[in-house]
Amino acid sequence: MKSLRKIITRSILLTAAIALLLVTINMAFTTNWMFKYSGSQPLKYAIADISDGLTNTEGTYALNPSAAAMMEEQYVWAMLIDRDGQVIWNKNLPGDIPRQYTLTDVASFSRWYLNDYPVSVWEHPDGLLVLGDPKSSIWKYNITSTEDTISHVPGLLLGFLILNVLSALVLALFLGLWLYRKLKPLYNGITTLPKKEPLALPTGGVTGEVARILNETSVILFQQEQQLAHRDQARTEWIAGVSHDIRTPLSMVMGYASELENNPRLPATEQNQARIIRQQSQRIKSLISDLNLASKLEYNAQPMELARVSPAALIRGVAVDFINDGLTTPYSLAVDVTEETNSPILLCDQALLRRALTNLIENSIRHNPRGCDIKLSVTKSTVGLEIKVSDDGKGYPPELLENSGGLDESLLLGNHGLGLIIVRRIMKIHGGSVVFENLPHQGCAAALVFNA
Amino acid sequence: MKTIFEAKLLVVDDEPEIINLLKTILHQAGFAQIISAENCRQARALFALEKPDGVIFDVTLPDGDGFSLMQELRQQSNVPMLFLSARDEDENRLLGLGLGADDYITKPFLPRELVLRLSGILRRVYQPLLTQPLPDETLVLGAVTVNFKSGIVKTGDGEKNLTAKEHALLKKLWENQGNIVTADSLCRSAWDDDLYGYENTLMVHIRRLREKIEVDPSQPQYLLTIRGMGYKLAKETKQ
Repeated sequence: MKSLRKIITRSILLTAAIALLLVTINMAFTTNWMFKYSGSQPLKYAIADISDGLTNTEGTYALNPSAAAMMEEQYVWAMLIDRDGQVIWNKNLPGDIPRQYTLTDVASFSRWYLNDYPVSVWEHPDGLLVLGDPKSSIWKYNITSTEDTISHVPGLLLGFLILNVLSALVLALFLGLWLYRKLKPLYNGITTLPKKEPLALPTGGVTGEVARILNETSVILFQQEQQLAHRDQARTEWIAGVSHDIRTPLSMVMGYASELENNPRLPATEQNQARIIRQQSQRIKSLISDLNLASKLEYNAQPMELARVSPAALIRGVAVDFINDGLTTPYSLAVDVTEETNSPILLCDQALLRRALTNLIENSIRHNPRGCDIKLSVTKSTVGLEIKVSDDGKGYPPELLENSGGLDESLLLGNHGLGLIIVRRIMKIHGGSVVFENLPHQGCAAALVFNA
Repeated sequence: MKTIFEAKLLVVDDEPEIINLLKTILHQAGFAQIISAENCRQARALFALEKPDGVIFDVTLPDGDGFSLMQELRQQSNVPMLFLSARDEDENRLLGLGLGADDYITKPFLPRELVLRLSGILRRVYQPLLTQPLPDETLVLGAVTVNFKSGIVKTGDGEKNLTAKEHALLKKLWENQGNIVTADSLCRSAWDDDLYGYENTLMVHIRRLREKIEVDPSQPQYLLTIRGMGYKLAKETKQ
């Protein structure tokens, strides 16, 4: 929600900034335009100069060259009307312009037009100088205003500016709120998408189309999630089914091989071969049960029975089982615990953890056929609890260490069977992790890390 | 029944090959009377007719499941019943045992293991006296004799009495003689609690036990400490 609010606040500020910018640009433009094209100021001087350039020498009027040039440049025609209304001088005067004027005529054209010619007038010592522009080239309008009104112009302009700014802000705020209200359900919808539940956003209004697409997307995600869960379940069941079906024929192989192995009428060589068949079928048996467990752990089909146990008691139990089952030289197994780990501080599925520790010890035994010293230890720190299985054997292959944290489980598989994969998955469903490392001098260690 | 091999055994499995295998194994082991059924209906009929002394069930059967069949037959009889199943999940094993089965063996199985487990159960049920190690529950450690019934330790010097906790600890060690028993298991036997908080108490009791059963308590010959793990009652050395 916070980020949506941020987006909206920013958009309001941005809109307000844009509005202010527009007002400023408009004002600047208007001011500039007024200065540039209000235009009569230089003309006034020109018309005065032209008037000065028209001189009467012994009854004949003549325009001196500079004034003539100015006139040529700015006007089409010119005439001088004397005090009686007679045109006493002209230059380029069009034929449709009268040669005589009354006071009324003069008052009229000095403000407006003369036969549609926009004209400018200037006082001349001998009368009135009238200069004409081409038809339809200048728009003339007279403004009449009270002093009072004019004196309020700066205040009005300021008010106008403030009103502009205020309405820009109010509009921006309104637009922002409107957007906020429209986008809020969409925002909520998007943030709940990762939960992969079907959405039912209202599909009316401006955002209706987006809401509809979001609804559809959520349904697709939901269906995919269900399909995935279904596929996981199907896979687990399939593996369970296959391993179930393999057990019956394997019973026959194992049973009869075992019978042959113990048949005194068979020569020693054949008995030995039968023993190998029996041993290998036992390996298949443990592989099947590993495969079954691994698939259940991966797809959360393994029920967890959580209880608080003493980690020290757990590793003592595992170690003693190995020794009581006949683990002897060249192997040794030692246990190192601190006193505090005797208390029931670890919440876990005891059977699964025993399985993980058993797999790690068996891994040490299998990969060090010449023997090794195995050590089980447990330490508690502020970070969490760590159960470690270490040995002084030949260590893990480097490629396993490089990838043990990654997703690629094929390296863990290697020639380690499913043992290490099972260890990792057991730690995963406990919310912990397993760290494999080679020790500086010799041997390796696998640490089961439970976060505090 | 003079020996357990006279027992009549009923094998229920829908796979004829498994039945043949079981017959071979059991005959080989010395069992003479083996009858078989391939489904629940046959099993019920044979059970009523032949009154077998022991039954081995498969869980998956064509006309029902072994669990219900066993439950049904258990209501009529207390003969040993065990499961031989291709389902290896703990829940199935626990379900089977919870329903009153005497054992639950998973396929594939080792013939010897099956025979040993079956014989053990039959012996316990039909020849209970023979399964007791010694009728008067006596442990002999060199010159020292411990009688668990009376709780009396006899040495060359005279007799000492075991306290209740010493008795519980020594009995647990004796039941696992030759194997290590974790300090945790010992604590559960004597105090019915976890080791935590009992570490020193346990050491004190072990020391007192040694004073009663060892010739030289500081150099124990029988009650051995296994560092980091627990204790072990050594098997009597044959001299």
